[in-house]
Amino acid sequence: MKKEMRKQVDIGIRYLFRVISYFSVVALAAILIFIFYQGVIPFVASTAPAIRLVTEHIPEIQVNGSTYVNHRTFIDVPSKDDEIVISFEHQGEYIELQLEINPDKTNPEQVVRFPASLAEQVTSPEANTYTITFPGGLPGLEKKIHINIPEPPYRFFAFLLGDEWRPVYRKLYGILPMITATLMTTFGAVLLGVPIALLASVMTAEFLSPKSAFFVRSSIDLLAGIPSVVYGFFGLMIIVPIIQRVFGSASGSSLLAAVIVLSIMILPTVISITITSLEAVPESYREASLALGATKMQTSWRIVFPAARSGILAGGILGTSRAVGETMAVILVAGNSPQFPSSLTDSVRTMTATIALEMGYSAGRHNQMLFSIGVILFVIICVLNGIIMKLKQHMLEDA
Amino acid sequence: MKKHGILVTAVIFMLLSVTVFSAGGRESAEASYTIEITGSTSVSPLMETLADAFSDQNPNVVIQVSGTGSGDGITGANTGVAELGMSSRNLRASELGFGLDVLTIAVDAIAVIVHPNNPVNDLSLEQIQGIYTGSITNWSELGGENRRISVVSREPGSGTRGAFEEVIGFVDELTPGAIEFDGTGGVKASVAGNVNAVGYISLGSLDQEVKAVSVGAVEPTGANVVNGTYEIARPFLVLYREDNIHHTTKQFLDWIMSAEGQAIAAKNYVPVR
Repeated sequence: MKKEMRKQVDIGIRYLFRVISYFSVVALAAILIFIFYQGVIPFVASTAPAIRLVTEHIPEIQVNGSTYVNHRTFIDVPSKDDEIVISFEHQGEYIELQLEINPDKTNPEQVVRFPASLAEQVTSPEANTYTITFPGGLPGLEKKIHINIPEPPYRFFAFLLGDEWRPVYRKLYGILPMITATLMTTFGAVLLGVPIALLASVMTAEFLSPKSAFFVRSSIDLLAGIPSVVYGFFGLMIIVPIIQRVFGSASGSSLLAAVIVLSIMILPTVISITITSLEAVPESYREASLALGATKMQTSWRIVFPAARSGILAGGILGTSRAVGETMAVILVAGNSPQFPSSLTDSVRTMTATIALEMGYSAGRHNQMLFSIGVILFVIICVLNGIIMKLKQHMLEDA
Repeated sequence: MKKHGILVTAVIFMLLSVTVFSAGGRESAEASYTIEITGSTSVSPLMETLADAFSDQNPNVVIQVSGTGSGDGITGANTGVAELGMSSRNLRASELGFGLDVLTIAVDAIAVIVHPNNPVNDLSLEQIQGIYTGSITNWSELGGENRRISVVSREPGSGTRGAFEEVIGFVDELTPGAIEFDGTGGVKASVAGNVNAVGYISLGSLDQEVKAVSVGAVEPTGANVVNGTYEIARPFLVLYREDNIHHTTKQFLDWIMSAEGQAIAAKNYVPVR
């Protein structure tokens, strides 16, 4: 009876495990599909199917023969129409506007042609939007007609290789400066952080007495647990002012500050994995080397280190991924201006920082573009991991 | 059985927490009404003060204010994620067509701030434009010390940034290399910690850590906004759909526009009634 029940519980738990593991796969797939879907839209679809009008303070208006009374939402102009005829009453007069449409033009300035008589009343508050204003009796109560011209699908190369990120008014979405910044901060951090981490691990694993090695290891594990925003805060309060003073720059928020903070942040990851893999090298290797007359230093660098290289490489991969994905600490110290840095003290903005900074403030295509950045980030990480995997394979084959 | 002890405990805890949380949610929903408000980080401090005062008088009303950004507030009100949305800028042409009801609850000035040790006390609109577009790069050109200017701005899409750029006249022409922060707090901390920095924040968030400069010899005060001499101002908007809001929410909006609510707004901002 007892055995029977135990069997039942066993089966039940196995099903539970299965459900949970499938669930995690489904959740991951759902996230990826959602991000890819959102991220691809701007490159395949226009922002709206047709030209849309919005009016302000016009109680009654006729557009292409249809009458709209107190209409507050979009008035869509069918895409087959080749002109917009608008008529409404203004200060006792009856006004009729005729606007020509050329939907084939790629330049938004030529899609709608305004008559010369309107030149003074037409403004363009942002790209692809034109506003015709008729002065009213009171300020703030002007009659306004906004014409929203749909943005055509954004060219993918203008996105990937564009050097201007002006998402709100000019609607330019070039992310090359951010890709550059992400790669530069990551490589800088790896370049600065990994050698330090390797030296520290060899020291801890091979030379320190067990007691002090334990102390170092537990302190490093503690470092790994500190939230990234704390590293960022440390950088903002200590590293940024030092950089400002040393280099005499206008502000210390810079590429260099980001590199330093990131290199500190990847230390615990790289060190703890490297120590583990060094410790996993069989003791017989060391004994054989020492017995042949090699010094302790020669043994560590020439025997133990190469024997542990696949584990060391794994530490490097994890450190790199952490540096690519780090957001909060970088936002605090990098200054976040979307430009190509010309020196180490220039401020930069990484891809993750852009997503985090602007997600709450964006709408429409701007919002979707942030997902597109996420997709590019995903691709970069995949490529990075692919390269490192290949490297690892090579190293294992050589060994 | 012992082998599975930990597993079974974990599962029981999972189930328990689910029941407890769902039960908790139901209970509070029956007893009171929760108003969800989301949007601009500049409006949130005022909205939180208003919400606290209103909840004190009406203990069965819970008001949740989350400051995420003007864009979020407009989208939230449009899609119905939040009952009320907050925005610190006027709606753009592409957002007007959502057909949202707009209520202006206060007017806020945007103060141009520098480090307290910076000797510069006044900037003209042209000078501010020059700083932010990159044609003025040294404080000595503005009567200050010979130091390079560190330009601090908000991130693209921010209501404060939109209003500031529109009034000063450099829409999307911010100089490359300007430091960008999300949120009023980031800009303030950055200016407070750097003697070279210049930034801009909501007048209601101004304190002793930074110094507000006068613009064209006009001090940034509520009175100067009312008489029209201080030009860098923008409205605080609440967005909603008249047909969809609960009667409690309607009460809250009426209360904000009442003498009592506007008196609270008048403490740090310019009331509209």
